[in-house]
Amino acid sequence: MMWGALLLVLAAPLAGGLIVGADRVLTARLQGRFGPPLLQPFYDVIKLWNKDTVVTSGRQSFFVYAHLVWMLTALILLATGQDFLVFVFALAAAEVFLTFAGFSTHSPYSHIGSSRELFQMLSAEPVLLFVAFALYVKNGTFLSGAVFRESPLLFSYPLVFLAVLYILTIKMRKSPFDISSGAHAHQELVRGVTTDISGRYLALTEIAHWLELVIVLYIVYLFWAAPWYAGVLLAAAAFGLEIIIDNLYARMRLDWMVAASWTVGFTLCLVNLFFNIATRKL
Amino acid sequence: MSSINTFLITALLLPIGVALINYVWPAQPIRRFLLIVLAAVLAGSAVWLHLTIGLEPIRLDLAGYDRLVFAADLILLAYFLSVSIRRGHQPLMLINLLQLAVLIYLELVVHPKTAGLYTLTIDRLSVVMYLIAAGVGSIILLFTLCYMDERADHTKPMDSRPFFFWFTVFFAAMNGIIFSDNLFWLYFFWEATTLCSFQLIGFEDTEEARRSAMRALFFNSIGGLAFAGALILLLTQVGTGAVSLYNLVNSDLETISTPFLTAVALLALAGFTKAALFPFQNWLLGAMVAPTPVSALLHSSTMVKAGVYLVIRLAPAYTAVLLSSAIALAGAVTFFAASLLAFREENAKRVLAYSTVANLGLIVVCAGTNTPLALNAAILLMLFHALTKALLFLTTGAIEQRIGSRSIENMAGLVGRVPGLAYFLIFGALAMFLPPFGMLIGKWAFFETAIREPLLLPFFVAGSTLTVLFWTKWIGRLLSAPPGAAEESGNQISRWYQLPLAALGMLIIAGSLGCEAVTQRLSVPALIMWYPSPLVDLPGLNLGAFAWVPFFNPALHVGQSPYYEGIFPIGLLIAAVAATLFLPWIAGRVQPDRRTDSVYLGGANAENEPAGVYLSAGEQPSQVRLGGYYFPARLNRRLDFWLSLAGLGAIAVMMGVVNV
Repeated sequence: MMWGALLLVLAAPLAGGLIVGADRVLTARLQGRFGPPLLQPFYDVIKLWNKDTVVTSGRQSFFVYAHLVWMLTALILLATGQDFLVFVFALAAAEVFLTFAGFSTHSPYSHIGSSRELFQMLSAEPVLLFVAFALYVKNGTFLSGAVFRESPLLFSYPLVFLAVLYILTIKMRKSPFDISSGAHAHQELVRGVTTDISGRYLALTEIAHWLELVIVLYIVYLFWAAPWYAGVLLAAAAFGLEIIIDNLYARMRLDWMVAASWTVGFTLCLVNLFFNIATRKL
Repeated sequence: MSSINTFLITALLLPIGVALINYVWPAQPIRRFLLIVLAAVLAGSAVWLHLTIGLEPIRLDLAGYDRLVFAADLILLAYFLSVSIRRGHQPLMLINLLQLAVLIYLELVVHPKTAGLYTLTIDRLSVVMYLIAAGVGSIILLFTLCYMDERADHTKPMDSRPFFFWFTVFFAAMNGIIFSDNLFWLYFFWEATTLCSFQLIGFEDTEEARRSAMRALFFNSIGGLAFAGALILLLTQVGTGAVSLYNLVNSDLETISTPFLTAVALLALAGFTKAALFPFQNWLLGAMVAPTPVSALLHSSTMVKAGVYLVIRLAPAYTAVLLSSAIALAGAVTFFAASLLAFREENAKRVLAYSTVANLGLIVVCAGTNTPLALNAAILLMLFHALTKALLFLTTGAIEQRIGSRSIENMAGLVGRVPGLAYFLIFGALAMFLPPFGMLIGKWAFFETAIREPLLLPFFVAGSTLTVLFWTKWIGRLLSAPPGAAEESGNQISRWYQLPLAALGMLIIAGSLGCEAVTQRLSVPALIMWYPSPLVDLPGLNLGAFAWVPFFNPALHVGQSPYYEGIFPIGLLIAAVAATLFLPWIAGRVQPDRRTDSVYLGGANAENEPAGVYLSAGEQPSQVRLGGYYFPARLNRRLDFWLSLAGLGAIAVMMGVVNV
């Protein structure tokens, strides 16, 4: 367990980079292009790392590091099977620091991107908190490690799982929710938060994003954690679904995203939770 | 026992003595000297009390002074009545008349025999509250000295004697609430804090100040009336023994009856008015017109904390009845509603006020959830909220004096203009919602037990998310200046400001790092009499960076679940904070060469133009403007009405579930 956790944390940047590479290859194929090589994200980061570091304000570097540190903390909490609530709070801290980095650059584009990033958080955070309560109702503990010894979470929480798929798009900043910063060049705001973050700091932000990808896919994995390959398949399927949705849908509006999460997302989670609380054997 | 008497004289009479001397002898050096001495004595006495009081409460019989308190009560109510007549406020007049009638009826007709009952009780819960009131209060007092002198420099000259008089008397009234056991005494001090806040809010004597002061008086008088109603029920229906709060809580009365629960609900309602829960929130928002130290005092260490203190103290009396869930509902509605409205405010002090209301709501939820872990969370929240909110208010007040505005939009890029204060503000705001600070530990501890009230989950989840949002939004404005804005860092703040702010910051950090010790030494002893300890030791793991604070809730523990219910990995999170602080520093040492460049503006940045100007289509110079989201159209005034109505509905539910 402990070695597995260590391996997961160490392999996470690598896995995250590969996932982004796979994403770019798959997306290119879907769009009828050949696309970059699988390892392109690593080449990008290495190139960024060796570039001249230009900043617009001295404060942004502090928050870029803080973002990375708290993303790593969130990953460690998840990998070691710690309290899921604490994990949610640590992940929120990481995102908060990313927006601070954006605000600190004094760039109007980062300002818009960071403000929108806050609404991405507003939409995603409630579902993550509900997942924590779902874990507790099912396993009698908030420790996420317990999922390995109990029956799959997915069977008890199909509706919560749907909500998680919804916020997965938000967390991965994929269409239709690439609102704060998008990878598609046709969007009106491209790379909002990171507009004026460059060189080594952009490389660090990118690595943090890889960790974030591993984290959100690991949450999907937790829904069917034993046997392990079931969870991996589930996460892979969810990832494939995200890429297809990303290429099929246009961007939704900010208020649509928040409203959908706070009505449909809340309802899905609450109905599922109440049902399980009511039928729980005490 | 004599040392306790000395202590009580210090806590109750010394502030009044200092207030009187200052009033008749208002020379500034003397005032400064006396108030510093008072602050030191209060803080010292709080530490002394913490070291002295064990698990066994100390109880005192001062029945000889009952008549005096009764007379003082009459004078107070008569004064309120005269105010309501002078201002022509008829509802208030009616409330005050009713209160007077109840009091006279009880004294002359029922004539309770309080012999053999205790007047004052000091237990561990009072110690925690006194540490907050006297500890945080004395730091605010130090700040106030400098603030009021500086304030006198740029407002119209005013006689500051009444301000300092009521400000100091407030401490005595609050201490009275903390230690009172006899409900008549508690009632008197309860009304005395109302009087002090009325005077302080109305200090500036502008039209707005007078109106806000009247509103505070009115709402708190509703609470006073509820309190009086509880007194009449307890004395006529339950028995004279119930006049002792301590007996009431321990319920060594007969069995729980409908009048008993009604009285408890009325006392909780009195607590709600003081804690400014919805629908009573407006008095606290109006209180913003007073000088900032008053807000700091009202919001952090006194007044509103008295409200939740009473609700927490009563918690064992309503455990395991439906009333408990109804109280949690009232708190949950407030937690959500205030967090939502905080989102809309551009006025920094109003954001702070809504945040206070939200957190008080959360504390009431904890009390209503009524498990050991939830009560423990309530105490942690009360403690850390007092520290953090004091820091935030004092900083905001100091910023207001620097930039002449309390609008968040005017604080844009403050880190470049007044870095010292801006960093204090950012620290305080982060301490409200980020791990591993005490406020978050409190919220986490409550969430671990929140499933006890599953129907309230949406309120908790929504309120918690919104909390993160409105703080982050504010901090974002402090960090983001328009591109090219000048950075000037010559704006020094005086040592008199830095000292109290730094003291509060150090206390927040120390308390958060030592949250396990705070729980073991402060909140568990305060609760152990009624609730089993929520803490277990996890053997062998409490070492250094990997220290864990496991919580374990016997009341919640289901069947044979082999797991701990939750663990707060404080060691790991402290390591993360250390990495956050040192990594950029180390990286900066290794590779310091960074070039600063101008911001990309989507066109050519205009040469030789003022900051933030770029050339847009047609070579037209355009000015970049930044702003925050506030959603005034969606979060409009009509929403206030519906949210207040929801709060009122929760109270109606509360008064409806008192039948046994």
